[in-house]
Amino acid sequence: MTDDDPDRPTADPVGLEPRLDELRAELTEAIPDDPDADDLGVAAIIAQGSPTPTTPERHAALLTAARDGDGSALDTLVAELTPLVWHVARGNGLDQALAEDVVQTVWLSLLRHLDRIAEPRALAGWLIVTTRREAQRAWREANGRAALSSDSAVDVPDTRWLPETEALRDDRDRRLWRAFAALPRRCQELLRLTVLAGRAEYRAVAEALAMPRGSIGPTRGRCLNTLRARLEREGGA
Amino acid sequence: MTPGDSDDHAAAFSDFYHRERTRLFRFAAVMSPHLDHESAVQEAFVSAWRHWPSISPPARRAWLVKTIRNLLVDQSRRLERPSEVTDEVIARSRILVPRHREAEAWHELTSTLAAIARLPDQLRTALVLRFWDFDDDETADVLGCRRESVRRYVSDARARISEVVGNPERRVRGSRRGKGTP
Repeated sequence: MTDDDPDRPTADPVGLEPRLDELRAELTEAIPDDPDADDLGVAAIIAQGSPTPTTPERHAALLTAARDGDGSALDTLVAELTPLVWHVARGNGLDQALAEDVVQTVWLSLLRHLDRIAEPRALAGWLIVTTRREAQRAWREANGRAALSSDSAVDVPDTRWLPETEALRDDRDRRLWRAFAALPRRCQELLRLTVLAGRAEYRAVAEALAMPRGSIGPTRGRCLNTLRARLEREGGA
Repeated sequence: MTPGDSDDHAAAFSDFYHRERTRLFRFAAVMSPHLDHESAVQEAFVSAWRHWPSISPPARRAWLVKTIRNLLVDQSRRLERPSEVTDEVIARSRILVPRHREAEAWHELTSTLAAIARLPDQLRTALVLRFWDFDDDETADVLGCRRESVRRYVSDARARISEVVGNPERRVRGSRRGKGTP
């Protein structure tokens, strides 16, 4: 509490302050200051708070404006679509530092190719494809061999991109992510991309995952069912 | 413009989140222990990110506090009987863990928390912000009032709480309270 409160002595005729101090100590312990960085929490908030790109038309309009030299249009595009780019990069197995490089590279690449994007409405798709390519290149460079994201690996469970254990607030989260980690890699990526990109971008997601567009919805449903079944088997539902 | 701009926003947001989250979670918990205060904080951060570029940096925390407060008000309106914030309801919220402590001391803490939760909105917000060390100017911004009013709200709030708890001589009677509490 602040010291400059002249009211306090008169406002505390019955010893309320010690009671409040005790309460504060108790609550401070019950809700401790968590020194660990909660990057997953931030990413989730940013993903949730970014306007759902249900409007490829709007992105197309922004892209057109950016081509004409409108800097704020480009800013908006970058702000809205960076979470998508980021998750594609992380979803391809990159650690934070590499993912940051890739995000940077992808946006620079967009700047260079502003005039060459043939279909502005497909911007999200272009970003997903470019990011995957960049991510795989970065992974190869860092690891000296091809990334596991080659097709042979898409059906095996993948535990690389998971939140830090400390970031999970409760047991339900832990069970959910454990079940998520046991899903085939393709399911994980599909769920991640469809959550971030939204329904209107199923076409871009289909392109990125080399799947027929019409099968995105049903496959997503099957992936969610598998996730649910795993959770129920664990008694987590 | 550079691609760095959105990174800057995200980095500033991330810093802000890490710096302020605990205090905001604590604020919300004392404001409404019986509601889903964690969701309210989470939702407020999502909303803050949505409006991030338009919130002036010095006003960010007050903006969050206002939003959390509104979300808690919305939540309480959805309760069946919003006015019945009894000691029992607060005890069930399990904010305070009844461990290694006498039952009576735990009861006192719960009653204090309940008494705070039952305060009128302005008084409660002023008191809880003071409780977690927000300064009066910021509280005035949250409440849309003058700094002097904040002080009056806080002392009114204290006086009301004191009527219910805080008097050591009332401890014995305090343990018999409970049922009569509105």
